[in-house]
Amino acid sequence: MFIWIEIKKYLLAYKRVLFWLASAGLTSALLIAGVRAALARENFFEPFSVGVVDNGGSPEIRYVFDYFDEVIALEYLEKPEAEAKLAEGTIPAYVELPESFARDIITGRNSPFTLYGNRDYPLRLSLSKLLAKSGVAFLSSAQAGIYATLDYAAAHGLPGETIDARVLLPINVAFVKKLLAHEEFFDSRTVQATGTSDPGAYYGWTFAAFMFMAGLLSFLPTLRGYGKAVYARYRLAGQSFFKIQFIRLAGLFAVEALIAAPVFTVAAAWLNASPALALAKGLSLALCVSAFGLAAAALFRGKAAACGVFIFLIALTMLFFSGGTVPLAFLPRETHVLRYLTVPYWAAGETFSACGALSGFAVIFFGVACVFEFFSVRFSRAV
Amino acid sequence: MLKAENISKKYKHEVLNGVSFSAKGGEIVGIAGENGSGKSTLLSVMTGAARPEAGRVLVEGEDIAKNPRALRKWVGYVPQEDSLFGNLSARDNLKLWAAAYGADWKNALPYLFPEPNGETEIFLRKKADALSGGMRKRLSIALSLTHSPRYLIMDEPTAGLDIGFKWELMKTVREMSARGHCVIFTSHQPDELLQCDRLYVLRGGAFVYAGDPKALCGGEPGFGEALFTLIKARDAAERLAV
Repeated sequence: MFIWIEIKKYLLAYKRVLFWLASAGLTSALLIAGVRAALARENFFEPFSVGVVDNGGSPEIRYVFDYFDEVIALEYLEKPEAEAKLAEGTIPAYVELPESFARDIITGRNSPFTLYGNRDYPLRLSLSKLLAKSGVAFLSSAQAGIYATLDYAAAHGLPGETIDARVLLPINVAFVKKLLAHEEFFDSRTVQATGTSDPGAYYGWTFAAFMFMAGLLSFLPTLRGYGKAVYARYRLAGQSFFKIQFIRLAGLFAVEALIAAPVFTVAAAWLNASPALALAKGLSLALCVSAFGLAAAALFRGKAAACGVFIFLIALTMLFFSGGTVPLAFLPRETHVLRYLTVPYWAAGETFSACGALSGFAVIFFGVACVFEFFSVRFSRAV
Repeated sequence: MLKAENISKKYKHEVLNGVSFSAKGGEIVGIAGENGSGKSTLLSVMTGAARPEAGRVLVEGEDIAKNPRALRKWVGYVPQEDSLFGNLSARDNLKLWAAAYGADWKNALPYLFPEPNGETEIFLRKKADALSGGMRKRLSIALSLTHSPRYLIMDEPTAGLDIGFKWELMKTVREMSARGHCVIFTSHQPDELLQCDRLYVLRGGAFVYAGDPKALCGGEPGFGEALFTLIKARDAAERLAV
């Protein structure tokens, strides 16, 4: 009875918060449903490949394109076959490389290729365009090395044919291989392409970020009420300090779970993931955010301080370093390690590691909350 | 009987120095003293919220340090600050604290509404935040009565109340006393303290007066002045002169 009334207290306090969260959640759900329906109409969730018509058939070009094959499936086709597949919609686009493409690239000449697309599949086509642009950017980077080699050859008076046949080709192939082997360079391209081709990854982030921020809003009602008078009464009634903290956590968790359970389960159903695992992750996040809110309530007695310092400083910083606002690839590599200290990063991660990490965070936050609350009550006692 | 024996309590400096105190069922006991004289600390010790460096508190013969259940059973406490949860209704506040004591919340109703009428339900449904200052205080006191304690300890219960509510509150205190409850409260108001059966005056961590308040000045006229002089007396010679 006692615990239930405590939980009821939070539920009542959250009535307004729940209304806002439900509205935001419903709006997001409708938007996602709309976008998903549009994507489904285009068979966006089915794997697809982009055609490549290589009129030159150079092994170097095949070597380069094999790397792109890690990002999106490529299908090497003859021109008539590619046109037929494009017309029937089996592939959204194909790239036709001129016969001299490989040699032109290696010798530093401009060599335009053509992208043919089917406008009935605009999303897949735009993705193919993005990939083609990425390929052009990549080849341009490779050509920087080629120009340097040409400059060197010119400075030493070497004849063009010798350079082409004996020097330039092996050097440039080696340069391209070295560039492709450069993990950091290729990573940044992979992140962009993966994000676009796997909408599930973005949904995961969206839900995690939404839950995280929503949870932080909901701790505000807990700032009220728990003064020294309340503790004095509870103590006299024989209720221990830690029991009260557990009940507060339970009250917060009850509300968070009410939001997390449907959001994560529905999200899982959409993404064809396991609802049970998604629910486990959602509840772990709810527990973590509840403990986070309790720590905020213990650290900051005033709403203004809690909102200003806690939400806008700590929470947004956490969201930023988790990669939730800007992809990690765009942040300095030295800062990447900080993602392990953030809640949203784990919330968007794999289920089992996420559950473990989030529960760990919950224990830490709860400990912080208890310590600060204890000393806050103790030192504010009337003399 | 509620007894405090030779209580000493120290925070950064000594607040209580060997204070002894007693109250029994049916009594109204007032505690007076300057701000910072140790009134609230004495109440904290008596309610188990603070542990004394020396001395003990006995409730119905049980040492509360050894048997906190005695404290829970016999003593109700109304802190100086509000302990209501504003977003809960009056009924839910009562239910919450009654549940914390393991008691029935309806036990407090006779105090809140000696004669139940149509307004009872309206009051119980109202959120605590929507109640007037006087009604909040009344509800706050009612929270402490759900487990029907024999001793009710109140820390400056009339602070911030208008004259009408003060009068009502003191009337309630007298009624509770008539029903056998012992009411112990701190106050700065001479008119309230004069209604006590026994008055304790704290100064410098010790009682400088313990007895019938009327005996302080031989009657109502001049009580406030006598109390003021006693509280502000700077040494033993002055106290003796009083």
